[in-house]
Amino acid sequence: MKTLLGSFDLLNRVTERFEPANLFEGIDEANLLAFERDWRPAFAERLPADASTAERIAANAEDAHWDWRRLAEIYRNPLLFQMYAVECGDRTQGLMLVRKGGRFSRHPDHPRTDLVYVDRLATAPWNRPRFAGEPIYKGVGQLLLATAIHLSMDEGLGGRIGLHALPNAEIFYRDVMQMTDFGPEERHYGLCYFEMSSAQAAAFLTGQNVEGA
Amino acid sequence: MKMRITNNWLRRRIERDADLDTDAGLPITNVDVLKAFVPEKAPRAAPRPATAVASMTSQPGVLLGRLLRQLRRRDNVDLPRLAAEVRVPESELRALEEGGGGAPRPRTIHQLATFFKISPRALLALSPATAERDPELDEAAIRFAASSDELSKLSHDERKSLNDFVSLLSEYRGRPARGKR
Repeated sequence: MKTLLGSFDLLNRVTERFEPANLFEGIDEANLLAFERDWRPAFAERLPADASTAERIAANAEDAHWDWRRLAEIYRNPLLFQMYAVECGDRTQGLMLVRKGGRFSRHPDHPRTDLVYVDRLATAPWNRPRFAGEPIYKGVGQLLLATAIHLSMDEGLGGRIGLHALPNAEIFYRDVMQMTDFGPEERHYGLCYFEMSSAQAAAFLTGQNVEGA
Repeated sequence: MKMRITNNWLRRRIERDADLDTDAGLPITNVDVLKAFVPEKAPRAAPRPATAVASMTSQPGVLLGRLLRQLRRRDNVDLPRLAAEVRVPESELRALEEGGGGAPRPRTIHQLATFFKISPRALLALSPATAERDPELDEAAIRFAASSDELSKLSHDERKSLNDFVSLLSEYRGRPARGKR
């Protein structure tokens, strides 16, 4: 089921104006079709048909192969998983899949406590600074991350979230979001693991943390 | 679920935050991805002739290692410092420089490319992970390899050769998509 959580403004970098975007809990067929008909061709345009994952990383399209329709089928248990979508200008601008349990904090503030794990967070290819020559909307990542923190609070997990950043996004999570960086993880293909503690989440939502990038 | 942030909160964040990529998640739905992220077991390196350029370029890992060593020498960065800067284990970097260690992880390629300001596609094209060679890049690599001597300090000619090669790598946009060549 898809429920409107609210309307928030994204910055259109091209027009330099803010535009209203809708944030939804749950995704529907329109979002899946948007991924298949809008996102995939945009990725394909920039990548060789037989691009390896390493080539996708080089082009900042590491997640080009993610099949959101399949993910929606696999992770449809609402007790454990939840999906979110951001729509603006009649297009899907971002998608997120989170896991509500089964992952535990490594943060020294509250070790071994439950947290919300951001399994996937993807912005549309045309919004990515290192993929698109002229990226369009800014703010999709911040909005989805804030959503994950709210979910963590609603689930009684104190705003704690964790995620594995794709290489091009490490700076965002470490310096801008000021999440705790636990470094590259061997068992997760060398990707860096980041956590936001309860205190960091509170600071993020009250705007007390200041980005260093 | 109730969102407690306001529209103004998001606007302030957007105005304040640096313009960066934000994507996250494990690449676990594609076999190719698993292959690309898990380093291949390195075969024991066979002894290589010191001056056999053709032999060296037929082993992209060796060429990549030589390039990384030269870049470190150029920038006067020792391995421990490089490891700290790019946040990749020193042992992994050492193995890369020695031409072993199999295919480097995509993240390692990304971090090194960012540090040395080289196109990651170019670094990737020199790595053993690349199945399809790019003849133009290989030719440039041969010229570079022929002029580089890893045993001494960078001479004027070596530095020029390295800088020419790095310049090419910086502008490298990758092999053309199939059907577009």
